[in-house]
Amino acid sequence: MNKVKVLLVDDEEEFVSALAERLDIRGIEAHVATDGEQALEMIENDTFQVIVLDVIMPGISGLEVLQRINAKQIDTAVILLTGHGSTKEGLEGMRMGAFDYLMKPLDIDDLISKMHETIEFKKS
Amino acid sequence: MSGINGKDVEFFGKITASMTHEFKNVLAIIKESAGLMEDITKIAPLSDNKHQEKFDNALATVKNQLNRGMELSTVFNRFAHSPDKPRAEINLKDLAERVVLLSDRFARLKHITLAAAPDDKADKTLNIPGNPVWAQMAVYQAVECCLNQLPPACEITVTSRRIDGHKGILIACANLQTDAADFCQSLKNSEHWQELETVMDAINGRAQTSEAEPGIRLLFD
Repeated sequence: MNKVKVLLVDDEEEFVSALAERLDIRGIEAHVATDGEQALEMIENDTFQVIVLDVIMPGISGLEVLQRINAKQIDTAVILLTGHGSTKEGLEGMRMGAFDYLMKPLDIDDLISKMHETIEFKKS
Repeated sequence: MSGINGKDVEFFGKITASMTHEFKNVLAIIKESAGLMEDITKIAPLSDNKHQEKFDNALATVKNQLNRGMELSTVFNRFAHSPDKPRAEINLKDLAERVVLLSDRFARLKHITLAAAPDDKADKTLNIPGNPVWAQMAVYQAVECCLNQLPPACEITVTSRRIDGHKGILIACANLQTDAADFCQSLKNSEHWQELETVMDAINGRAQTSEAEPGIRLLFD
């Protein structure tokens, strides 16, 4: 069975690196971007089944990245990451087509469950 | 009640909210790193069982304190956002629970148990329009008033409910070790009582003592 391939986008490098390692241990191929521009470049050059996208980042925000993904009609599922105080951005993102949003700090099992849910939804 | 038209409180809240957000990011990083340590030791346990046990215990402590830190950060962040709007719809159950969380340390220092009423005892439907900062100040002042008059081993329960038909919060004290009437009188004689009355007046409410359920009743409408 092919590994799930996911792109993690968050400006906190230590956070996203540790998360990628943990997903890798669980058999998920995780790639990392630490800003919106880098993420968009990676999305253009590679195929990911899921993008886990932090909403608030310096430079291009997560919602702007989502907007550009939509504009390019890139077919990939997006899960947003929000902190407390930014649930409205999570809801806004869902209106823009994100599958769902999760609050930081994450529970890794919740994230993996949501990723599989996202992939199944996309298949149906 | 507010300096520089409330801008001082707004400034304080804005900076505090931003810093709690930063703090929570730090905790998120520590959480993932601790999780990674746990994952790695599951794959490759330490060769020395004694050290493995100590490692596991230390990691469990890290995780417990992380959870504690995250809860505190969440509560503090919500508190920091209080000044965002000078007037908002305030849910009295949320108000009671938030002040209890914010005041818990003061109670612990006095060896007094402070708790919000359980869900089945609190009315979650009571909402009042008002200044969120002042409302929190009022409930906190009532709690502080009680804390300063109670000996150790007492219990304070903060409950949102209708009081004589009014939307209110009851700060009820148990295990008093003194007569309820004397306790209520000591509350009214305390330096915090006048401050409490001032704040309640500013939000069009009033404070009363209660001998039946010894403590303070805050009526918000």
